[in-house]
Amino acid sequence: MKRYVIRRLLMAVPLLLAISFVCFVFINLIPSNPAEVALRVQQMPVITEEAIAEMEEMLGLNKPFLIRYFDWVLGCLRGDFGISYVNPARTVAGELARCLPATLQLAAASFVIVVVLSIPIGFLCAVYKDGWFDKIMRGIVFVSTAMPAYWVGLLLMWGVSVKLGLLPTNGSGSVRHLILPAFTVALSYISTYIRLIRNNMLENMKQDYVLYANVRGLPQKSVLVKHILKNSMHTCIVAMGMSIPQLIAGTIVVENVFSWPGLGTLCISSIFNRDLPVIQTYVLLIGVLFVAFNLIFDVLQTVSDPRLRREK
Amino acid sequence: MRERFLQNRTAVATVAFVLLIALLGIFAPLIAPHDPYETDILNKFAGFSREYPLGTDHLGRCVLSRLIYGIRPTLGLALLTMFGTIALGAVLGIMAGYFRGAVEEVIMRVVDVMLSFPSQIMVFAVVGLLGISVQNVIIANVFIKWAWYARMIRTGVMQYRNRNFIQFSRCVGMPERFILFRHLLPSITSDLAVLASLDVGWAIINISTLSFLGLGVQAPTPEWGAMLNEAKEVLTSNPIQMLAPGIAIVTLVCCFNLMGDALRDVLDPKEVAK
Amino acid sequence: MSAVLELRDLHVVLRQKHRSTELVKGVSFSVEEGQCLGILGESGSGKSMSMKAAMGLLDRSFQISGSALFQGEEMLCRSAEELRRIRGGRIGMILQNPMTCFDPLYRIGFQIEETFLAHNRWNAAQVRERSLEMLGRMRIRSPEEVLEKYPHQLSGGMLQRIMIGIATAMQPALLIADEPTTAIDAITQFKILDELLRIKAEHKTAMVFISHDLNAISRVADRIVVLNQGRVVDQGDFRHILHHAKDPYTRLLVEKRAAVMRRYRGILEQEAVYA
Repeated sequence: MKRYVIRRLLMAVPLLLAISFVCFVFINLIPSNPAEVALRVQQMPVITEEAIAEMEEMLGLNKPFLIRYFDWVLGCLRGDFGISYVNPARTVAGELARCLPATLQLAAASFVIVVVLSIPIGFLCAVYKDGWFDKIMRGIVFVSTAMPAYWVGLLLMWGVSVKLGLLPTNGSGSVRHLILPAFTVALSYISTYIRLIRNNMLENMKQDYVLYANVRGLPQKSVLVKHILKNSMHTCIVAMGMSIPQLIAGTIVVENVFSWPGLGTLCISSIFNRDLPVIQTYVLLIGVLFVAFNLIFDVLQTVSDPRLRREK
Repeated sequence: MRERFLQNRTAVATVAFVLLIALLGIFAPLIAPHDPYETDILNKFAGFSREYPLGTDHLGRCVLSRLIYGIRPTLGLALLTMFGTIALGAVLGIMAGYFRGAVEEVIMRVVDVMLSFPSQIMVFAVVGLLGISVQNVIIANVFIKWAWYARMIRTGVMQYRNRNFIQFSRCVGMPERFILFRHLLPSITSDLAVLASLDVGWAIINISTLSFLGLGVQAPTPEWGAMLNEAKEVLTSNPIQMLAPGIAIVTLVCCFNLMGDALRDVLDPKEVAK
Repeated sequence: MSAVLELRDLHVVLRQKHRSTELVKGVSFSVEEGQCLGILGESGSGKSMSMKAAMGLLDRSFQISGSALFQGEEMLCRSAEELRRIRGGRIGMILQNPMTCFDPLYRIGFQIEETFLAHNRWNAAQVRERSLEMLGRMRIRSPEEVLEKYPHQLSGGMLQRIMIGIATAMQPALLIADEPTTAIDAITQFKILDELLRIKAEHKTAMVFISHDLNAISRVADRIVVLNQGRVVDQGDFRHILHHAKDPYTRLLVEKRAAVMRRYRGILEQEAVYA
């Protein structure tokens, strides 16, 4: 068991290096010189050769490529992601740290909504396959996968906040502010997971062990919950866990619709301001989260499945 | 194949609908009742009427005309994205699947790294680094999606590679390139068609999202996402504004999704046997 | 002697979106106490379908008509809950893939326990005692350890014996064995058949043995019913089937088997000559 975890950890290292390299190359691949971009972003009136050289010196752009990459990686490991182009007084790490809690709050709330809604709905859809509930749910799932998240956000804002006056349209601070954006983020994942759980359960129902459970005359409820649901949950929990980083990334659009002061809003404003280090670090952060959650849930799956678990 | 296609009502209906929308977009100047850029500030937020079937927006422009003209960027860019994605994915996938060895190793490792990133973030990253423009939106979308196609096509190629007819062509001494295009491409087309039609819907949503955030097609160009961006500003006073473009997006994306499912049924031999 | 299970003109129709297919087309036969009925037929002939229909194991997309009497009581009009109580308790059943029939996520002990608790009100100590006793009866070595194992840690033959043990633990009036020997190797097959014969001799249980293997069926069955494409095409004892089968399909089965046997004997004799 321990061996397996260590091996998985080691396997993640090259992937992390590759991700960091891609992030780094990105900023160096763009047609214009980063130093020039930085100067322009700071609204330097005349961009002279000396100013560029000075900026290059300050950003460490005059060193060879690989050296810069290693400097950057080492910096990242120490939590130093460079400074913002827009406001050199601020570090990128500080900016991200300021916005991260709001995004995590939103993503966590959405995750809870996803789990709480999709599991029972998916379960009921599978149990009453082709019944009215299943048909209605399948219709909703089908349409909601075609709905852009921002439009859902607008509709909810209009319906719930403007028409009914129940919840605030934007801003943050209280649970009431959280409900609409969290639900909007959750919606597209809910439909994915309803479908996943439903199909997984239907697949499981065809298995021999379900037939045998019925042959043994086990109560229907026990067959459905103890056997079919538990077997399906195995795959689904892992898929859900692995999608947490996607959920965090998915907040980017919704945050902008609801003016939620998180990473997404920061990222979009950085794109408008051409604040490259912030974008770079944001991408790196999401990439690392992605690898980390994949790793965690892969290990968890192995631990929880007796077939995959090694004998101690 | 054609018979099966004609028998599948969903397939026929969705393909017909998409063609209809595409024709509407192509012949927009002939069909649209008004110039989509023509403002009439006195007549802003007009309701439904004979003259303006879907009313007017905050500058008094005809919403229906803007919707019809909006087909061009919305559907056009999505199709262009898919075309680029499939082309890039096919070239790299076929190279990886057919030549194997070091070529395959390099391509597949890059694919792995690409797939380990959340796609949504990559779009923003590419647009953020390259700057805001329509062209970069397409590059970004192609950039994040090609790896899926490369992997799928490689798997397809590997499966078909060992089939008898390809080995036979080899024995007969046909040149490799000829074998590739004459035999391999047609055999993986059906998988490709299904995946691509599902992904067009995805591309439409993605491009309109970027436009909505102001990172893609810019106002005043009539694009559905950009129209929703404008509608957002008047959400409290004129909520009707956001209905038409939103419904248009949902309908078109639903249609592509249905088409993908229907094509899968048409092209999958197993379904027929039932 | 009264029939333990009697099927009268049983029909099973599978209803799909556009068409419905009749899978079992009017099957009638009966089994009496202490008797073993062999149902012979190739896959898709409706042999296990008709038994599943009688036991209420088919889902709603199957339409069942006719009559299935278990100890004189009609099975087809019973509620799902009543059928459940009969299954596992008064009717035991053994399936063909022991390796996939146990839920991979639970220990064997738990799966035995839940079956016992579904039909009896026993406390934990009683359950454990009966489980160990049952494993002992099935001649499984170190039963305490086996209870703690997951299904994937045991062999197919072992799981098959546990399955037989579970099926017979509650003294069923009827034991249905649905191709119990198909998925296991020849030696285990032999032992499993012995086990079934022993159970039949000890408890006077009525038994239905479903198989496409004439060899296996000839060892255990007192009477044989041959099914082909959802119909009963021949019935009688083994001798009757062997020599007086009317149906061309049955004769084909018998001839194929006879040919194999002749060949086998031929080779043996040859070897005897050389030796």
